[in-house]
Amino acid sequence: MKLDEIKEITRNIVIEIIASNSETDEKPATFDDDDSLIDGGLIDSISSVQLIEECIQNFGILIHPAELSLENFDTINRICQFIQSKLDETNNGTNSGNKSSFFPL
Amino acid sequence: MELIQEISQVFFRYKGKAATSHYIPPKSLITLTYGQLEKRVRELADFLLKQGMQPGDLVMSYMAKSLELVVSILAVMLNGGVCSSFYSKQNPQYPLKLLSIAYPRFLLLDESTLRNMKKSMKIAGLEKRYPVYMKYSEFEGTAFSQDLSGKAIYVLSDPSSKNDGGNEVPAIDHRLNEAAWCLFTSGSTGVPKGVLISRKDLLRRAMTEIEDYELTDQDSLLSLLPFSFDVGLNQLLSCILSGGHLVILNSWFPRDILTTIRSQSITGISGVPSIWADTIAYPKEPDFDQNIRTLKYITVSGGDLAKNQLVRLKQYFENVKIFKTYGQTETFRSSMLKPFDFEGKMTSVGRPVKGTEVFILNDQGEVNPPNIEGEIVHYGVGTMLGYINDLGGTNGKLREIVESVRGTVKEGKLVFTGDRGKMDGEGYLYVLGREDGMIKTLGYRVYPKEIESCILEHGHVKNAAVVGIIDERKGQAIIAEVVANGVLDKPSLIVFLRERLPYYMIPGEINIVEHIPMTENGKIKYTTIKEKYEERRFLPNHS
Repeated sequence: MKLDEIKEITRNIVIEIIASNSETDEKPATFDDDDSLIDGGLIDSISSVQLIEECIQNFGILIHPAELSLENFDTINRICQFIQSKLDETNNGTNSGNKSSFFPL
Repeated sequence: MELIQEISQVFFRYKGKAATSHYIPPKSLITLTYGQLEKRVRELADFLLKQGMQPGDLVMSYMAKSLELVVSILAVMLNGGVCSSFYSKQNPQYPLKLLSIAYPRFLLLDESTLRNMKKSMKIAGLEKRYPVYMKYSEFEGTAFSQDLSGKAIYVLSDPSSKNDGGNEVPAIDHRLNEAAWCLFTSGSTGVPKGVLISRKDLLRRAMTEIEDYELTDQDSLLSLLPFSFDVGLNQLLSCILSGGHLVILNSWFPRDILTTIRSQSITGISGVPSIWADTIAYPKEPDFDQNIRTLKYITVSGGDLAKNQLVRLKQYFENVKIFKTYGQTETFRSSMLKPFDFEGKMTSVGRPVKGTEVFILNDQGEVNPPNIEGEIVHYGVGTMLGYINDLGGTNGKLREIVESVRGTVKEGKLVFTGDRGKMDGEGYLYVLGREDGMIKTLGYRVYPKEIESCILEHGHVKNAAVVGIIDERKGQAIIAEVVANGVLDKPSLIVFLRERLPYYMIPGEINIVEHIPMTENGKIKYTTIKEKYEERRFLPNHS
């Protein structure tokens, strides 16, 4: 998967989460690829779990709880980088480990 | 004005010491010393005075949790104003709703909320309906710049709200003169209510917390909760007033929390159940005990964990003191379970905090004997002054002292919490649930929490929410939404529940869902879940 493609899917996931938390149909505030989503409050701490779940489902990746952090998930660019590296791991067959220890626990 | 004096004193006393930091793990850390914090706070306070701010003015901060927010809050307090902080980027209507309830004199925004606010007002086309909005300096805003982080605070003012009220503006709420804070609760009706807390009680609550958590200027507290939540606000004030260091982290990921404890030498954390539920599910790193060695205490506030989770929490944080607290926005904090009671009284929320009394009253207003359930009624420190601009709502919640408690309390008001609970023979309080969340099924009264805690005992369940919906046959039918922890087999869960609960408490329907809707404070949004199932009753294809 190309980075652009990952980015588009990720942006859509984020937009979806923000919209699903809003009780109105209006479009959410705009954000850039380097805007802080969780620290900046666009996605609250509770909804960050939803963000992770959507990434797991949309990209078919496994995420270890130790990989859940602002470092990997706070901006669109960081999420994309992280997902890219995860997909590379899968393709190279280096994604080993016990499945049960992955998120969701 | 004691609160203002106390704040001025800590600024003076701790000048060169770290006051507050904003940490974004692993590397980004911005810190303000008490001296730097004071400089910014005084500058903003003076700026607001120049804009015409007067004591008793309501000032709302609409911004993400940041150092700028801390500066804003303290500046308003220093000017004798009433602060209110809220944050909701997801729902553009929410800020507008709050403005139309509280009519703040000033709005403090950051760059992104300013953008958001302009947009929401434009979309809502509010110029005509609420003329007052448009007077917020036509959204030009006056930027108040801070040199350290480079982020500006935008000050929007509404000169009209102070005067005669104008068209639709209510006359100024006289309670604002005594108040220091306006906390918004969502309220069961969905209409937010602004709870006014007095300056005196805010200070008394902070002092009690300093005493209970034994805070000193050597403490570094981790701030995870919003300041729009009384527990988060209380932590901010008790930390600052003890000369401690407040570290802001806007992430509830266990790894970020543990990294922050280690790298910032955190000594205390005020938390809500969902934070701890995630943390105890996080595999311990090999050097865990060494990494968290500075941590002295944590709190479980704003809800409860199931018993097995509490046991696990104690095992996880073996050498850390655990406090449980209970309260409502309208009462601030009512009770506390102290660490030495944790093992013995784990499922209770402890005893009334200093300066308060808690009563369990029956429907006739009589005090119930031990172990008999009734409504939890609060008296003393933390009692709200009232809801802003809502006398009717205030009178429903704040009532005159009833005859049965006159022996204990003489003057003031009682807060009827709407929570059901009981007290044991030793005075420990047990919270059963909300009066309006109580499920009446087959003639029994059942609280969602009783069923939820049992479901949570199951090893393959991560989270659960139980609601009752109208049912012709049973009165109410019980539905459970369950988030699986790994693979969850529904029939086995039902067998598990049958072994532990009476028949009338077994949910008629169990749905495995991906997540349970929660508020930003980590509370389950029961109304949202309930609505979903109630709506379903009217769909044609549902039998």
